Amino acid sequence: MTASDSAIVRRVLDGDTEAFAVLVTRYHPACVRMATHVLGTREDAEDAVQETFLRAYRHLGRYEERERFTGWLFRILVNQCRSTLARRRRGETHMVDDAPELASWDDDVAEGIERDEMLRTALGRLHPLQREALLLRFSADLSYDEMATATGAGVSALKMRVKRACAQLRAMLGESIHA
Amino acid sequence: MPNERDELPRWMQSALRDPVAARADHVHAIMTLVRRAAVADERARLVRRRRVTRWRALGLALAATAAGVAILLGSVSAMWRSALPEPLAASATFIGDSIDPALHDTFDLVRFALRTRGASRVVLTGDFNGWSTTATPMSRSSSPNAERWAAVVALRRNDRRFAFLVDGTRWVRAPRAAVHRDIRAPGSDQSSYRDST
Repeated sequence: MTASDSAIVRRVLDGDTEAFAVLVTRYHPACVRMATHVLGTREDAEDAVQETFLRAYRHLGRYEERERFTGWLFRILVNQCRSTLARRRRGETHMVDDAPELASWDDDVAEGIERDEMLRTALGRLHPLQREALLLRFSADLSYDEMATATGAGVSALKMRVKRACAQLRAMLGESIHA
Repeated sequence: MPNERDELPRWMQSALRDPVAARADHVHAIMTLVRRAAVADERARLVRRRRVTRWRALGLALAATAAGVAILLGSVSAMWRSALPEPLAASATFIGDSIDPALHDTFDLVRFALRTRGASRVVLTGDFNGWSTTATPMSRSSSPNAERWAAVVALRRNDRRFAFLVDGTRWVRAPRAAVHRDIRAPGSDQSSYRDST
């Protein structure tokens, strides 16, 4: 039987540090996926995820069982990704700064790029908050309540961000809903 | 109305959920950092505990010292107070007239009182008894904590000087008692005057 997140947290707080490995193993794939889509590079994503789990361990005492552990953990990850993006804006280049304007893409260029790469580039063109909401919803597979915990935004605002992000992605990639 | 899930093409949804490979030892590296943090936290906890214990011991020592100093100061203060002469309060109260038919003279009955602590014998002396140190011993109040001595004497008009002799060695003047006629309030039967030395 799989132990619940809260039960594992209690074990860790009681001094069983190794129990934390269960949580790391459980959420590592989703965190890496989310961070990679947000930050664009695997190295930055790994750093962000590593720092996220370390912070989660250090502040585990602040976790309250009434909220889902997923939302709490992703709140740390979201903040970590935001910090990385802010550092980039201050001095480093953004991963899509050199990307051509999507409007100027002609069919030949588009056809030459893999769809995943196109998606990655299109994600980079989204407003950061919309991209964050979209990835929490579709990449991390969080519920809107968990997303609200992770971002601090209201459910309505998050739904709107996701809807707009979907519309923009479809527009950028020339896809229809039923394509 | 399309489902929210349908607002994003399926291949996009699928692409966003595709596993992203991290380096093979990433989980291990994270747990190594977590273990180090646990050790560091434990050390910090021990240091804090030691510090708290040390401060607690210091606090107890300071409290004990303060209590000792307070007790010492209290004792010294009590000893100092006991070494000082006790405050005295003397009074003379006119309580009425008396006529001696044989002498055809009028006397004033005056009650002398002296409050003092630790005395074993108090004598009232003055013009009225030729300054005898034995003729008019004062009686001690019967109440348990009383330190009050009293005597009622009949005075003539020219008996104007008095004193108390405490334990045969200590003289306490009674200047106000000496003017007992002046202390009677107009229109009243009794009046008194108190003095402290």
